[in-house]
Amino acid sequence: MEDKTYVEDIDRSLYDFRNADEDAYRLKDGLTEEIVLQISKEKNDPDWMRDLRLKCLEIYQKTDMPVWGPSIEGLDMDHIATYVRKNTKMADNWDAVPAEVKDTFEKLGIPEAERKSLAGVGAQYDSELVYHNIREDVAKLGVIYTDIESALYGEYADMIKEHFMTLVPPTDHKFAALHGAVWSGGSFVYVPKGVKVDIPLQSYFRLNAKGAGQFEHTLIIVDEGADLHFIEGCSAPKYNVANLHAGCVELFVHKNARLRYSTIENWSKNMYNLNTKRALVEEGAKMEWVSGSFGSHISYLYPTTILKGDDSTMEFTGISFANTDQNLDTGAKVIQLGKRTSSYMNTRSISKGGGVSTFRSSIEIRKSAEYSKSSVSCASLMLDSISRSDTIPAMDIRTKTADVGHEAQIGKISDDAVFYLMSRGMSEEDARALIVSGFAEDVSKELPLEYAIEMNNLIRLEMKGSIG
Amino acid sequence: MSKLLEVSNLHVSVGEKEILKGVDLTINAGEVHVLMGPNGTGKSTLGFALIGNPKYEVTEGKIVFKGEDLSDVEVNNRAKKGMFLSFQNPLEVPGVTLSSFIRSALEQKTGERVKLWEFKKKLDATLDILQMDHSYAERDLNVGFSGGEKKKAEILQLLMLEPEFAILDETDSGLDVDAVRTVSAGIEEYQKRVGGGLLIITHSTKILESIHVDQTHVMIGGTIVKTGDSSLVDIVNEKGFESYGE
Amino acid sequence: MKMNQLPAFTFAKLDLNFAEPDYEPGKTKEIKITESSVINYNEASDVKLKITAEENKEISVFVLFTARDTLYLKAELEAKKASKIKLVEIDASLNEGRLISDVRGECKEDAKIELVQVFPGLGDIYSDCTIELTGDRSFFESRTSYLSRKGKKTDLNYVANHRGKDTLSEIHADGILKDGAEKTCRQTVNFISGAAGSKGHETEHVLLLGDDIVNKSVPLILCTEEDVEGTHGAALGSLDDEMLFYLESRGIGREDAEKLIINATFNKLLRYIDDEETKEKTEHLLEEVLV
Repeated sequence: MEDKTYVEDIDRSLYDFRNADEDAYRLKDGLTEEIVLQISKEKNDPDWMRDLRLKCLEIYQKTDMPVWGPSIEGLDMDHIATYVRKNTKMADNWDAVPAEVKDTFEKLGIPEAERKSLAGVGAQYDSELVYHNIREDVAKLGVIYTDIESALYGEYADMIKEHFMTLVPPTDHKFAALHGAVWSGGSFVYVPKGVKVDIPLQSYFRLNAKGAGQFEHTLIIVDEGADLHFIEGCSAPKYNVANLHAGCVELFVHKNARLRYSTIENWSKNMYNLNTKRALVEEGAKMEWVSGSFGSHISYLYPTTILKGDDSTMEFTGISFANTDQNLDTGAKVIQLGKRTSSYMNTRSISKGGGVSTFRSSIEIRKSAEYSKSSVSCASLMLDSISRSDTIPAMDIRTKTADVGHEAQIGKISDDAVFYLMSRGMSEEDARALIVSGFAEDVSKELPLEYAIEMNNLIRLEMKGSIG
Repeated sequence: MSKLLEVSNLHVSVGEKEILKGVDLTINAGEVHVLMGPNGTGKSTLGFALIGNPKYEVTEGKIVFKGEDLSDVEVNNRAKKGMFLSFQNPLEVPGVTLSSFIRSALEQKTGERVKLWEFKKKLDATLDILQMDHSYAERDLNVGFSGGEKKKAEILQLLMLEPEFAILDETDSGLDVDAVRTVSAGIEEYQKRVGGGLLIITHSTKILESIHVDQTHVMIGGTIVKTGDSSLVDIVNEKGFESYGE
Repeated sequence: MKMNQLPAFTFAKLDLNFAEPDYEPGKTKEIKITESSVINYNEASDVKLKITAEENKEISVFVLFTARDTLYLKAELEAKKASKIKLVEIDASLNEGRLISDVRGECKEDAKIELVQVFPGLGDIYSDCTIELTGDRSFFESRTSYLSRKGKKTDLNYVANHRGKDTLSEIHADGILKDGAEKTCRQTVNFISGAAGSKGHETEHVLLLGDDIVNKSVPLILCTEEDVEGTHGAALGSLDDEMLFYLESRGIGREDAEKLIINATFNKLLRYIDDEETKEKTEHLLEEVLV
C-alpha cells in the first residue's frame, strides 16, 4: 500500500479564534432543577414555558442513551455550562453590538452577507441573540423574523405556544428532552399566506465560551402558498474540553408552500453536535434540505420530514466530510403519510485522516401513502485506510403501490483520474482536491453562490496536506 | 378480399396532447402495408393504439379487427384475437426464459397445454431461420440481448405465435445489413406460414426488397396524407417528405 | 432466541436491529459432511452440519425442508484453499412450519462459498449467514428467492466480512410479498482494513403484490479500507407497467403475468441447482407450494 503524508494541523484560523469575554454572565456547570429554574427566571419565561422545562428535565433524566451511533461517553453534562450570556441586549444595528462580538461576526462575514444578499439576519453568541434584523421591505410583506424570547410575549405568543416542541416532543429522544429543559436563543419566522420571500434569511450561531452548550430553538411557519429560503450557519473556536450543541428546529410547511432550509455546519472539533430538525409538510407543499456537515467532534444529525399532506414532497441534499478526530453520523429521515408523496435523498460523504463518516437514513412509507415514491442515492469516498465510512440506510414500506429505489456506492479516488489531471500539469494535492470538489458538486450547486464558495473552501481546507 | 383491419377517423391522445388526428386505414387479409413518415409524426402511436396501450387514449373514431370493434377489448385479448406488435424497444424480463415465455403466450392463446416435444422442434427450426443459436431459447427474455438480438427475438415470437395481423414498428432500425436480411427472411417465413396481414413501420427500403408491398402510406402530423402502391416507397426515399407539407 | 443481528445498529424505533424467533434449540445432532450430499428433513429437528471442503475440492450440499414443524439448522462451513462449498437450502414447508437457518463460514485463499436459498414455502423463515472472507481472492455468493404471504414471517440477514485481499462478495435477494406478508432483509458488506482490492455488491428486488404488507430493507456497507468498491441497489415496487403491457401484448393477462413473474423469481435459482434429482424435486415442490 502507498504511504500517505498527513499534516495534522490544518489552518482553521478562519473560524478558530476566541474571545476572552470576561464580562459574560455564566451559570455554573451541570444540569439540575435549580439550574433549569435559574435559566427560566433569567429568560423571564411565561409559566407554561417554565413548566415545560421542568417536564423536559424529568424526561431527560428518565431517558436512556441511544443504542446506536457514535459513542458520546466523552460528554459529561456535569462539565457543561448550559447558559452563558454576554452582558448586552439584542440590537438591530451592528454598531450597538459590543465591539468584540461584532468583530467576531465581521470575521465570519455575516454583516457583509447581510448587506449583499440576505433579507434578514439573526446572530446568536453563546446562549443569546446579539443581533436580529429584517429588511424593511420584507417586514412590510408581513414576514416576522425575530428571536423566540420576544415572540413569547408579542402578537405571536399563542402561535409559539401552539407549535413549540410539538413536532419534536421531549419524549422523542434524550437530547430533545435536554433541549427542552435548557433551550435559549434561536429564531422565529412566520411567512404569511402567499408571500414569497425571494432572498434568504440567515441565522448564525457562534459558541464562543469554553465548556458550554448552545441550545437554540428555531421555529419556522410558512403559511399556505408562501415561499422561504432559510440559511443556518454555525461555528465555534476549538477548546480542549467538550462543548455541546443540542439545538432544535421545528418547521411547519403549509399547503402548497415551499421551504428550503440550508445549513453549513462548521463546529470546532471538540463539539458534540446532537441536533434535532424536523419538518411537517402539508398538502402539495415542498420541503428542501441542503446540509453540509464539516465540523464537530461527534455529530448525530438526521433532519426528518413528515410528508403528511397528499402530493407533498421532500428533497434532501447533504454532504459530510469527516477528518481526524471526527465521527459524523448524518443522514435524513422521512415518514410518508399522504397519497402520492415523494422523497428524494442525494448524499455524499468523505472520510479522511482517521475520520469516521456514517450515512444513516430511514424511509417509512406508511399504508396510507398510496402511490408514493422514494429514491435514495448515496456515495462515499474513502481517502485513506485509517478512516471509516459506513452506509446504514433503512426502508420500511407498507403499501404495495409504493415505488422505491435505493442505490449506494463506496470507493476511492480513481488513480487514473489523478494521473490524468497531473498529466495536465496539476499537483497531486490539487488534483485530489479537485476530484473531491467534483464529488461534492451535486451538493454545492444547491447552495447560493457565496455559500457554495465557502463550502468549496472548507473542502480545500480539509484536503490540505493529503498527498497520496 | 375480407377486411382484416379497419381504422376509421382515429384520434389518439397521450396525456393532454393529441397525436393522431383522424387516421383512416384498411388492411385486407394477407396484405402488406408500409407506413412511412418523419420522426414524431405518430407512427408508433398508431401501433400502440392498435394493440391497445392504455396510455394511448382513443378520443374519437374506432378500430375494427376481424369485424369486431376493439374499443372495449384489452391488450391481452387483442393479442389472443390475433394481433401482434413488434416493439421498437422490447422489455427485459429477468427470470422468464424466451422459450417459457412463448409457451405461456401460446397456452394463453389456445387455452391448451403445449406439447413440449413439438414445441421444441418448431422453436429450434425457427431459431435456425433467424440464425439464432439454440441457447437463446433458455436465456432470459431480452436480458442482456443486443439491439439486433432483441429485434430477432421479436420476430421469433411473431413466427411462433402466428398472429393474423402484425405491426412491425421499426424492426429494422439500428440493424446492420446482415441482420436486416435475417429479419426480412423471418418476415417472408411469416407470410409463408400464416399469410397474415402486415403493417410495417420503417424508414428504409432494405427490409422491403424481398417483400411484396401492397400499399404504402405516408403519415405527417398525425394523419395519413398520401397512399399509393409500392412505388411510393421509392419516391419518398428519393424526395423525402417535403412535398407532403413537411 | 436472538439472531439476525445487524453488524451496526440503527434507529431502534424501526425494530430491525435483530430478530427474536420464539424458539430455543435443543441439543443439536452434529453431522460432519465432506462430500456432496442431499439431506431431506420432513419433521422437527435441531441439527448442526459441519461442512468442510478440502483443498481444491468442490462439494454441494442440498437441504430440502418439507414439514409443519421447526427445523433449526446450524451450519458451519469451512472452505479450504481453492475449494468450493455450495449450500442449497430449499424450503417447501407447510403451514406452521418454520426454518431457522444459521450459517457461519470461512473462506480461505481462492475458495468460494455459495449459498442458494429457495424459499417458496408457507412457513416462517429466519435465515442468518455470516461469511469470513479471510483468504486472498476468496468469494462469497449468496442468492435468495422468497415468497412471503399472510401469516408468514421472512427474516433474513447476510454479512460478508472482507478480510483478505481481492476478495469478492455478491449478495442478492429477490422476493415477492403477497397479502399480509411481513419481511425483513438485512445485507452487509464489511470491508475491513487490509482487504485491498476487494469488491462487494448487494442487490434486493421486492415485488409488492399484496395489501397490508410490511417490507423492511437494510442494506449496509461498512468500510475501513480505501482500496475497495462497494455497491448496493434496491428496487421495490409493483409490477412495472411497461413490462406488464409487453406481456399483455402477447396475450398474457395481469394475473398470469404475476404468476409468470413469481415463477421466474424461483426459476432463476434452479440454474444453481446442479444436482438433477434435486432440481426435479425442487421444480415439483415449487409447483406444489406456488399455487
